[in-house]
Amino acid sequence: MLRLTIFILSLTMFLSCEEDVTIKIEDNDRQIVINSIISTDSIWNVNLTYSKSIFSDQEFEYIQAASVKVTNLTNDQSFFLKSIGNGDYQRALMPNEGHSYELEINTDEGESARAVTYVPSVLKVEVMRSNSIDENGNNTIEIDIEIEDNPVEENFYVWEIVENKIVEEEIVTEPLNIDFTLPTEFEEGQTELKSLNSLLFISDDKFNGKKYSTKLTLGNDVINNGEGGNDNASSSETPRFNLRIMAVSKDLYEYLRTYELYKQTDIAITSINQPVNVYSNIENGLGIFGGYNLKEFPIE
Amino acid sequence: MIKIVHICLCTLLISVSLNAQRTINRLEAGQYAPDTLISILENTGEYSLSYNPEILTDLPLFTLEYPINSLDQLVSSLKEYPYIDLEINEQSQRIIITKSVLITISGLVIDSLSGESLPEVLVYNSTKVLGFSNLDGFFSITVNTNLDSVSVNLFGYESQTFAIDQIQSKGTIKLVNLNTLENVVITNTNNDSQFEDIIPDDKIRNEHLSKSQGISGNSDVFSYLRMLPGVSVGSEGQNGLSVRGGSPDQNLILLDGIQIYEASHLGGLNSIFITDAIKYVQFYKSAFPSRFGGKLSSVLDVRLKDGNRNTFSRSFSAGIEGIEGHIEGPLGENTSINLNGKLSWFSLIASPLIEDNLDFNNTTLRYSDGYAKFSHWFTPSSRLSFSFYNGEDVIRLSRNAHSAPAFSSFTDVNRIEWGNRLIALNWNVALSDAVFLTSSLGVSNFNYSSRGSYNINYTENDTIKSNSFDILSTSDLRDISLQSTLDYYSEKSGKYSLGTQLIRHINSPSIIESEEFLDPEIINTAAMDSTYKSMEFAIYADNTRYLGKYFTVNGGIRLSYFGGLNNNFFYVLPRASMSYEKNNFRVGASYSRMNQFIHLLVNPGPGLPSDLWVPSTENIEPELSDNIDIEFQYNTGHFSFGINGFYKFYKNVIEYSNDSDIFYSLIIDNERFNVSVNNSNWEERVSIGRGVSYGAEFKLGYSVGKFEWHTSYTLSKSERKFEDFNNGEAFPYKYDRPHNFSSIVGYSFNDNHAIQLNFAYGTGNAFTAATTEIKSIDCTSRPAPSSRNNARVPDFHHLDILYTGQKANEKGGVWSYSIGVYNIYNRLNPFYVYLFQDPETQNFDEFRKISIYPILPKLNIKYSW
Repeated sequence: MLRLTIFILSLTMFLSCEEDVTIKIEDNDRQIVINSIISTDSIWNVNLTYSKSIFSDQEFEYIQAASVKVTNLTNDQSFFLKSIGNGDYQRALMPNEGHSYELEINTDEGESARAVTYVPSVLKVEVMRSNSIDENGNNTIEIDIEIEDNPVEENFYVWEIVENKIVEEEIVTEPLNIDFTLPTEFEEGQTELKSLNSLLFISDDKFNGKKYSTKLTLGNDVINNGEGGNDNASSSETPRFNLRIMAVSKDLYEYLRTYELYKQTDIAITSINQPVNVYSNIENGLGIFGGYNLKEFPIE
Repeated sequence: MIKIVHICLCTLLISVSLNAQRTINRLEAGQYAPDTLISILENTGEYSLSYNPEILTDLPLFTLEYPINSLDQLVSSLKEYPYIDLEINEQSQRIIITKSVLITISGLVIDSLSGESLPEVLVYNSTKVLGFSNLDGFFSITVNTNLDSVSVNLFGYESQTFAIDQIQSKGTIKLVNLNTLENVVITNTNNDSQFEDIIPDDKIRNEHLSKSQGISGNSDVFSYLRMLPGVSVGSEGQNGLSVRGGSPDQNLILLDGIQIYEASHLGGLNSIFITDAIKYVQFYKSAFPSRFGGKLSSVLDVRLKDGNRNTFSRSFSAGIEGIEGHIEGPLGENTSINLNGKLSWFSLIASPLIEDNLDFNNTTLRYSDGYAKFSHWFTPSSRLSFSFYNGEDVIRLSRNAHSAPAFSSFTDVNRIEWGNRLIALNWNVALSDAVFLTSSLGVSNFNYSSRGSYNINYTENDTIKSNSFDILSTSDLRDISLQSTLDYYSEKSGKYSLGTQLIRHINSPSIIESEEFLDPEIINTAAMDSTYKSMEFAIYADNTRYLGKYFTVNGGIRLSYFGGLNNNFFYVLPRASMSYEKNNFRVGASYSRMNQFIHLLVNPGPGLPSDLWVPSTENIEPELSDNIDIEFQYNTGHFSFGINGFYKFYKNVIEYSNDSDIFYSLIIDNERFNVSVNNSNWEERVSIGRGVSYGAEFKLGYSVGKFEWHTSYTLSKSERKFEDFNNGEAFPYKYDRPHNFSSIVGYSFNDNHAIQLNFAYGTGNAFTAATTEIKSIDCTSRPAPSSRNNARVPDFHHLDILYTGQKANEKGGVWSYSIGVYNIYNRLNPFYVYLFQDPETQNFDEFRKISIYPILPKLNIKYSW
């Protein structure tokens, strides 16, 4: 009897249980989602969709008939974008560097959203590459970079190294997930750089208005990556590696940084943790409206 | 006939004339100079007065509690004025007025059996309250030598009355505990005694704690507090206390005057406190005395027993959770000791179940607490005590596998450990009849570490490869504190307190991540470059006055400084409270400003949680709260009713836009882990905002004969608002609990057997459910929360039953036992909920909840001797 009592007592203890539950969500209305990143080397393009429930199997619903107005806040000119289908709205105009823009969306169903961004000034950057040999006798590529920061603006930079590969006779560009091996010399104008996945994020808070110089090193494991092999597009027309340096708006900087954080953390959605909050500068909506200026440098 | 009418008329005229002479002009309630009242008395002509006018100079104003309009009322009122004596001769219609001779008497009140000092003992005479004993049982009163007597009383003890000349200066009064007397039933009907709630809110003695039920049947301080209005009933597996919508890190928890940072055990099962070791608990939700500071929501001041000074007493108990032991007694005439220990044996029962069902092959689930206190009395009113506490919690789950189909070996380790260590030296001495000094010196250390790691060895193309991941987060927080408080009992203006406090904080939060297995010996990363040293200093003063019979006011100020990290913060923190208590009613109001310099970062990022304590910096200002409280209480002895309204406004509260961002920003070994920005300063990942919480608390209590019932209900709201996220709109705070309800019903069959039912209910905690999906810039889809804390987990509630009994044996020992059931109807309360994703389709299908405490037995057996 005692054994049975203890057994029954034990069975009632520490048996954690899992079951379905209905959670009441206070607000789950659909919202306008704006995805638009503008730069001086591409025409205006805005993609509009609606958000949907995570439980829905449906595809995203494009916003087909909306009024998309762009106002240049610097010179007070405005124009409208035209729908070209699949939620895309375009205009054959290019944004101007250093200008701020306001985007206003109004749908047929009375919904509206708004966002403001700017296009950073053109980058003043110099890049020089050279071959080198590391301590183990392996080939490396060293890249010297010097950025002259604009003292008037608050600047944000995003760097990326991409690899060009030939896939089925077409050139496919893929970002490199590498550890940037960097010297960390804390002299004035130099700062420690860190990367997240393929993107490297830097703000000018430590070198505002000054020249910032640093060096990147591509190690032997990257140069002689077995996955590339004969499919690497290393030729006089298409370099194998490109260094992309973007000056981005503050909104875009926060968006890209938090988006990378979201991709890296991949946490389950639970009541214990807060989901990664990917930045959005859309009023009454979701998504991103940001600007950038890109300079690209062939490496090999 | 005419003569008769004439006589009647004359009689009537004389009567009216006499009444007119005994009636005075109406005097409204208020304050009057004593010579004014004496003049009014003199002008009536009813009495001839004999006195020296000089005795009326420099006397405090006389407080008239209610309007009067007769001579008799005036004379009665003047007789209550303690600074003059009236000798009335009705025959000669003469009053001799002399100046009272006041003396200040102090003394100690102790338990007659154990010698333990008794706090909050009421000292009073026939007309008013004279004062209360302090935490060390010391009292100081100023009395008129012409008064007949002074009485002392504490609920549960036998009242005593003394003639003035019987109370010796710094003498000791021994009160007899009524529980030790045969054929005595303790009720709340003694008109001379303090009325006391069945479940007192603020002044909690050891015997009150026995009404609480932990999950396993043990009495527990936190379980007791969760029955009070304004204190959340908790939730599944929740550690700590949430008071009036505040977070657990906002509670100042003191053990013999020194701060403890984490006072909960494994998953909220119980607190670190052992009730047998405790003498007294003071709990403040509002009206904070000026000697307390550094936290926003509440103060829990726990005082250990000094130890029985007359005889040794022991107890040993064993229950579902573990074992507990207690011993106290004298080590000589003037020294006593109090030793206590608690050890869980969870692992014995839980480990086999976990290892069988969850594929772990090495599990540890345990906690332990150890207390020691030594007290020595140099004189009856001079005591030096040394207190020591050590406690820890360990959760370890690990598994090793070999030669599985997909890999050649696999090792997975998950570990969470935390613990407190505390040393306190307290010196309490009566410097004179009117001055009492309390000094404490202490060191407390809280450390926390969590580790999640795995290692997989596998074979690929005949090559053995390895994949490892190890992440370790630690938090080490050390306080060195020194505090002194001087209490002065003034004959005219009540009690003054003046003190200083100095605390040195050393925080070392850090996180290490590695792609290799870290050295298992790495558990303390304090040597890493994330150590913060700061200093907190405060000066405080307050005054408590008893104005007349019914009115008490307290005003105080705390000047607080914090600095040391390239920053200096200085605050003026006012405190004020007032109460009016008459017959069975009490009304009161209070205001307090509080601040908090040390904050808790709770990161629920990937893997295990981490608790990191960090200080205020030049970028992160201290948090502030303004607390307003009003109350109404009605207590007849059998029936009690109370209602409180509170409003709290918070400034500089901290929330993290992305918890995971903070996590990564604290990574120490940066070369091994990629962080996204050049500036990993965690301070810049923090948003500063405002908050508000307000509500109404209700409590009802009823006791008659063997039956007693107590209920509390709180209706409240707690919100936060940050400009940086949630579109700058207010959202429910994580600890917002709109409805919080607790009820206990008890019936005593006789002195030895009783049964108790407990019911607790609380609205589910708010959380952010990312149930909206959007298209990203790269055409992938991702979840996006539409607003912060837009959902709630299912409500938390459970019903428990407990039967207690005791029996004495022939040797004088007592067996006591408690047996019952936690969560009778097997409510599966949520520990957490998660969004389930189908592994095949990758679709999000539904929410699921995980529960950890189903119906559970309660069992505890104790032997005391």
